[in-house]
Amino acid sequence: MSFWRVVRAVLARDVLAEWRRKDIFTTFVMFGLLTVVVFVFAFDPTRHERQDVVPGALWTAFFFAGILGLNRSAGRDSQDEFLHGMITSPADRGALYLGKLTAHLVFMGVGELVILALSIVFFDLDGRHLTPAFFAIMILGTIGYLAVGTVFAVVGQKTRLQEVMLPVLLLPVLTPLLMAAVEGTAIILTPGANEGLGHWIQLMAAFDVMFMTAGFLLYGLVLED
Amino acid sequence: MDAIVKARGLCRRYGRFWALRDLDWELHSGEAVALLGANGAGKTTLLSMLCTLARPSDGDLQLMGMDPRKEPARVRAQIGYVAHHTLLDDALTARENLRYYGGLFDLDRLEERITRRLTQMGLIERDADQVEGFSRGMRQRLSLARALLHDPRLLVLDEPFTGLDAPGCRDLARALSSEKENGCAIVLATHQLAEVLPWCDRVLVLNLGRKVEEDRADARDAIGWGAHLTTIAAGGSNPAEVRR
Repeated sequence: MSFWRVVRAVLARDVLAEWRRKDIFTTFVMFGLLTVVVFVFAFDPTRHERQDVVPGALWTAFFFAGILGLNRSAGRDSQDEFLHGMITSPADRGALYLGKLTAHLVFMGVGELVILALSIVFFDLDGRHLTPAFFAIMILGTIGYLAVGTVFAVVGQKTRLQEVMLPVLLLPVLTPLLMAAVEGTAIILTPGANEGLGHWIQLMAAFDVMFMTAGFLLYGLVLED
Repeated sequence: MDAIVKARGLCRRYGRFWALRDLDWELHSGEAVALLGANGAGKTTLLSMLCTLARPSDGDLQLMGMDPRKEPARVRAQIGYVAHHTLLDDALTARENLRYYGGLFDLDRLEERITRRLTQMGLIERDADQVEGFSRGMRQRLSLARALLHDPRLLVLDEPFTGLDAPGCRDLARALSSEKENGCAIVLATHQLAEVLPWCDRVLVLNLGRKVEEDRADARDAIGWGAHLTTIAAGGSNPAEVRR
């Protein structure tokens, strides 16, 4: 009971604060949209195959915009030593992690939908491309990204380099996930192709389970040290 | 009286630097102790260990008869912490902030507790206002309401009077004094001696990470303690040598 109450408290606080400030959402969406626009100008969608451009554009936008969002979220918790309030509470550290992860999923999920909506217009995507498998890859990629990012965002804030530290720590760890997400999305967008999609989805699911478990177990250590 | 804090040979080092060394000290329920000392004396380090933000490097620390390393959650459930920073979220209202902490502490009768503490701190009329519109004094009172929400047995305060005007200091001192009378053990670090000496029982003086004196708070008046601390700080040798 108390475990889920902590998860709910953290989620409610984060969502309420974001609803009033809107800084994480705005930062995420603005940066993501700009990235997609840059890709549109760099790779003219009328002259390139969709599957060559869209996966890279989408996942670059999601991952780099996500770094800004995570930094903003962790920076907010450092303000007025808010994090110390969490540390000095008896709350289960795993519950704190799950609450933060869920809040980040809400912010990033909504932001991704906005970026995707613009990408549909720019890259002329339609119902043939936006299949359940497409959304499964989006969801698995986002969960994996945030499972690692939620922990590393706290680590980054505790170092002198702060915002700079997060991408340095995060991107090398996320390489297999990024590869699977891009390859999986490319297969979905390639007409008639389906081979290998299951393997990429399995890889992403395994990545998610592994890093969510690690985050759940290690979040307390990261918070307190 | 129950020993709320029992420290034996308590040490904390950061790399090769000893922030606190060989502290033997006890605090009992219903007692209030003012930690005094110059900047860098080790006051904040001791408070950090008491509220479980830092772990001892050596020695033994018992809080409420428990080892905070072995039973951190049970210990934390009985500690209230007021820092120089408020630990509040400016975007939330006073009530929402307390509701959040009530969730983290898994408190029953939460709305009732919140109303009681906000009323006690004179903030009930502003309970639906976002904290970003609060003055420093109001934030500090809300921070105290947050720390008292779960009726802690030990209240740890780090420079709680900083930035408060005279009436703000008086209100805060009155609230703390009333908690002490209700049996809460209080330890606070402050430079505002005049505000705490009238209701504190003892004074613990630290210098360069070591306990140099422990006396009754009324042994001197505020000016007397101030002059005494200056003498102690001036008598210390090179901090780097003492701490090695």
